[in-house]
Amino acid sequence: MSDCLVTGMPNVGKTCFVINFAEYMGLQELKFYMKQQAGYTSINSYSPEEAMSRLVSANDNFTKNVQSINIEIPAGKTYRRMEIIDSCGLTDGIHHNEEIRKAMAKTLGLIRKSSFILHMIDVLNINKKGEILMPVDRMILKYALKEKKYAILINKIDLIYASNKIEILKQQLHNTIMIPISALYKRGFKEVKKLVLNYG
Amino acid sequence: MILLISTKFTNKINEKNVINKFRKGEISISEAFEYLTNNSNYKLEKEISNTVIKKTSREDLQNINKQEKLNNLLRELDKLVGLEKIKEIIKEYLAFVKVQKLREQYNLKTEQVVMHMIFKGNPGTGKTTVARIIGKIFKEIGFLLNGDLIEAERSDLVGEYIGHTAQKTKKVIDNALGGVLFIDEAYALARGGEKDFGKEAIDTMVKAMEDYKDKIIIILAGYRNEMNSFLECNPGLRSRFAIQLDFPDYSIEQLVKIAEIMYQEREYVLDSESKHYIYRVITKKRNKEGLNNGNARMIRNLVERSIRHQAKRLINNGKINRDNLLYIKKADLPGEEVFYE
Repeated sequence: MSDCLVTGMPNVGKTCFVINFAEYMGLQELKFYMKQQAGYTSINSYSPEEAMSRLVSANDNFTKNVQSINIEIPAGKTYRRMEIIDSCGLTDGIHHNEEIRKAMAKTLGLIRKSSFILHMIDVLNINKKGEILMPVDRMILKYALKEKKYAILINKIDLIYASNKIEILKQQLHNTIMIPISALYKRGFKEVKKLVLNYG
Repeated sequence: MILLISTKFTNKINEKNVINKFRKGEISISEAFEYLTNNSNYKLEKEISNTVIKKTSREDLQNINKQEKLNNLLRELDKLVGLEKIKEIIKEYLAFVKVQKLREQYNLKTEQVVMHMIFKGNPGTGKTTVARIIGKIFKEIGFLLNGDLIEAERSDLVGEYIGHTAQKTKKVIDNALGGVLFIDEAYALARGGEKDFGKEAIDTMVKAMEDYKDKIIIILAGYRNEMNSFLECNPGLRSRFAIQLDFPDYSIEQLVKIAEIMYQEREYVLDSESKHYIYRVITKKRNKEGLNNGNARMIRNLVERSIRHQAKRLINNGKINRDNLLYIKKADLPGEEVFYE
């Protein structure tokens, strides 16, 4: 089973994407595997609606644990299984809260280990010139481009119509796959599915 | 070839090291990424130059955490209705303890910090609540080890035969070390006269107060008049408790405000009709019985009871929406009987 890490800054919509993508892939019951600090893995089952109300919040760093969902992608006559890993968002500098720092360290560890990284960037964090504004995003990009199978998901395209700046960014990073999506309204998921099928 | 494998291996260890350092708050995320991306001798180069900076940044973090907690506690204290004088005195002593610590750092003479207190006031005037906050505050500034509040009364301290009392009292004090020992109705210790074991409890306590000056805060609490005569009978005690706080009774307006805050904390809203009703009931009760009864504790009873009544009403009539769940109506409020429980 291959794995796919969803990472990015806090509040870009990572958990929302994981839930909605799993639902898009046909999962009625979402089983979240959460690695607890005591060393065991707990499994929490939610319906997609329930997961949205419990795990997604407008506050920063709401996800403080690594949680993953297993999905099956139809590939010809068989299915390909894949683990989608949701992680704690990364912020710049040194976070004052120890719990969040620990969770971020886990994310860093996962970025190092995972073979396939979906990097989620808020469309509002890209300026008109097509530059990525946040240092953390630039660091993830720089690291993952060099080492990993990597794609950028530009989220929240439902908020502003921003095809111009996405085009400019695409020209700058012409080797990188970039998919504009709306995690909340499940837009662009078809392309993501195709990508995951190819890469995973 | 061997060299290649070994470099790969050390790189892996170093990567883990970097993540560990990030977890501990010793390096920032950009430094972590810088290393992960370059996989270079980053660690060796940076570590030497940054040792000093890293150390301070870690200390800074701890200080920020502490300051944040302290600010929250002070906010909690400020939120209490009334008690202005008490809040002021607590803040004064807080500053005093802090300054003594700072003077110690600069090798200046320090005053002895003795924080034992006497709380005088009627039931339900906030004595236990304030004691609990004091424990937490003095833990944050490092005066107490854990800041827990241990409550005790006469029966916990006084034994049944000769020698038993000292043992019992000592045990309670040992339990409370590092925190606050709150002795409610402390005047009861002197109730039995000369031959009573209560006196032995007081003596043991006085000794512990001297021995563990900077490890425990002992608070004696009780009704104003009883505490005054208790202290008059034990002049030694009066001089040992430097801080004496008087908890005044709440005015009727303050009690209504307390009720509102209690509802607010539980995310309920009091409509104006119910507010007036509460006002009327409290006034009536005050006129009837004077000040000795009916402080904040009865308000808590009233709030909790009305919330249960509202729940029952909503389930019975089945009209459930956000507004109905939020508002407490006059019909939900209990009559005067709640105050006599």
